[in-house]
Amino acid sequence: MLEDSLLVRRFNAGDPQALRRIYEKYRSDLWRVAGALLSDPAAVEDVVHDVFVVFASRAGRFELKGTLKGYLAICVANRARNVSRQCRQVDPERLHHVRPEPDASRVASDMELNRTVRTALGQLAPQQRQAIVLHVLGSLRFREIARQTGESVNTVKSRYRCGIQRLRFLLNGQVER
Amino acid sequence: MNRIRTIKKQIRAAFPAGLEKPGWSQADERIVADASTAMKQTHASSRRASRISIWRTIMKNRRTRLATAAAIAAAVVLSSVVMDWLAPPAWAIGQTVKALKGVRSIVIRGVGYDDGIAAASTLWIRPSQDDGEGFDMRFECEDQLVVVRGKKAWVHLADKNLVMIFDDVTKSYGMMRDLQWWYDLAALNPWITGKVLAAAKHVAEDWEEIYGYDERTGRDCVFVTCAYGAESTFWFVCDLETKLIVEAKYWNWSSPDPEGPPACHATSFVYNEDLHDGIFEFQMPAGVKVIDKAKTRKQEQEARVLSDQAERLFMEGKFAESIDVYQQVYDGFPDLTNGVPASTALCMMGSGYRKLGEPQKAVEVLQKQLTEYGYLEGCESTYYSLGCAYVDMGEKEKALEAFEECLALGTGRREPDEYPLKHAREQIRQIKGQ
Repeated sequence: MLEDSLLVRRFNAGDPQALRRIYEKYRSDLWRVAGALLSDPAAVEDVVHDVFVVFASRAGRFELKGTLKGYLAICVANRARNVSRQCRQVDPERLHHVRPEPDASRVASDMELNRTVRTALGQLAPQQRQAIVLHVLGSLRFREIARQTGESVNTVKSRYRCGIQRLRFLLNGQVER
Repeated sequence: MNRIRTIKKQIRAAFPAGLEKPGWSQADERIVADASTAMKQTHASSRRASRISIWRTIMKNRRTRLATAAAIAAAVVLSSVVMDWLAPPAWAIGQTVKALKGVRSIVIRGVGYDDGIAAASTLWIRPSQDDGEGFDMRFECEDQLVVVRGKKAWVHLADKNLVMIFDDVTKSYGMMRDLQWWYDLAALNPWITGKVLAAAKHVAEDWEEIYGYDERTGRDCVFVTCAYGAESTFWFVCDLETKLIVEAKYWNWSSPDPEGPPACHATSFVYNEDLHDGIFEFQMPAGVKVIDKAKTRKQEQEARVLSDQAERLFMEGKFAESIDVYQQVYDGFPDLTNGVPASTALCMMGSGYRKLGEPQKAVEVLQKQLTEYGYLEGCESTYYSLGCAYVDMGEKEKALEAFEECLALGTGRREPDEYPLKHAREQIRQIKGQ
């Protein structure tokens, strides 16, 4: 947290090394969040790229509210949602690819199980998916997600809970224990 | 029943850290490089912006006509300040500011150039008479009329037979964004104080003053050229006696060469003319389409809620229910935001009908989408869906035609290996191979 404050101060002063350090520090989380919300690797790269370039263009007037990781993760999630929404508007056929496999019993290997989980996650409502991805993969607390999205903590928790319930339903029998 | 912890563990396993990007790659370098460039640009401009943010905003403005009006108006007030900086002792800052405070209205007539085509324009501007806040403005340029009255604005685009009403320019976006800056500034002082504008010379990258004689007016004057980056150059003529501008030219991104024709040429400036209220009253033309932005915002919200609901149902495999809700979107908001929600709804209904095994209905709604919203981008996807529906019906010739139309429309717009071009080619190959 302290390091982030210092990084942001240097970043606002126009230090490119600070920008690079911020990216290095959070790149893995950002790629992971974007990867969980988008199926197209090119779109994932574009989203991370766009978010970071926009973030960089705020140098000099960026105010850190909450955590830097939370801010960037939410930006990635929002951008991914927009991209996803645009894709759906023009490419409805793509939605067919995220439908569950017809014969779940064929899922045996870990790889296939992972694929099933990704597919199931893709079936959730966007806001539920975002809450789960940010909390589970982005390791953000509900309070942080709420602060960055401007929603109440209870709303975020409720979306997360509903999303998990839906996942349990979709994955029932496929994830042991 | 799966435990939450197990599900969380499985989600993490499905998206391991570094799965997408195992190591530092060229993509990372590209991101950091682009971000660094953006940061440098922002930082360089913010140094100026900290001195005079409004000036930067005007300079980077790319909406030609409103920007032109704004820029000319800026030049008018700027010119008085310019006088502060000019060497001859005849001008003192106090005199200039005093002259500025005496300005009650300005009428500017000139010519704007759009792709080399000249269009006559007139701008009337005065401090707001209604609530003492902001300004009243009327800008006419052939097929475009903008009237601002306090916070409310009307934009009439004659070529589109359209009137847009903005209830509060300080909270509007799009083209009204330009006005927001002016409004903010006008709220401080309708004619901008010399102190603020004095910074304009300070931030100019190139500044030249030539004293001479204006043949048009027959009076002594000063010709000033000032440049702001490679894309913005002002040239104006100031009367040495009145300290006011009498002619101005402006080159921007659309015509950056100061040796070439300007983006606009203000040929006439009239100060303190009595402007009657009628000038700033908008008369609604008969038979125009009216978009009231305040109402539109509410409708957009309603359409979004319905679309999200329909999409959720679609994703859950409840296609019939999804179609019903999409139908509501189409019925309720056929023209909203240029028809995008309604067009999307029809497209999704087509997909839904295909999922329900009713390709004939899918064809009907997809054709309806092409007929009513064929002007929107993304129609190649609709043609692809249409082709698929024809395949379902066994109508190979029609399917082939639709897939080829998809390729024809999408080529150049999308990557060849991207959906739906790749899929359309595959379908064509399959049909021809049979």
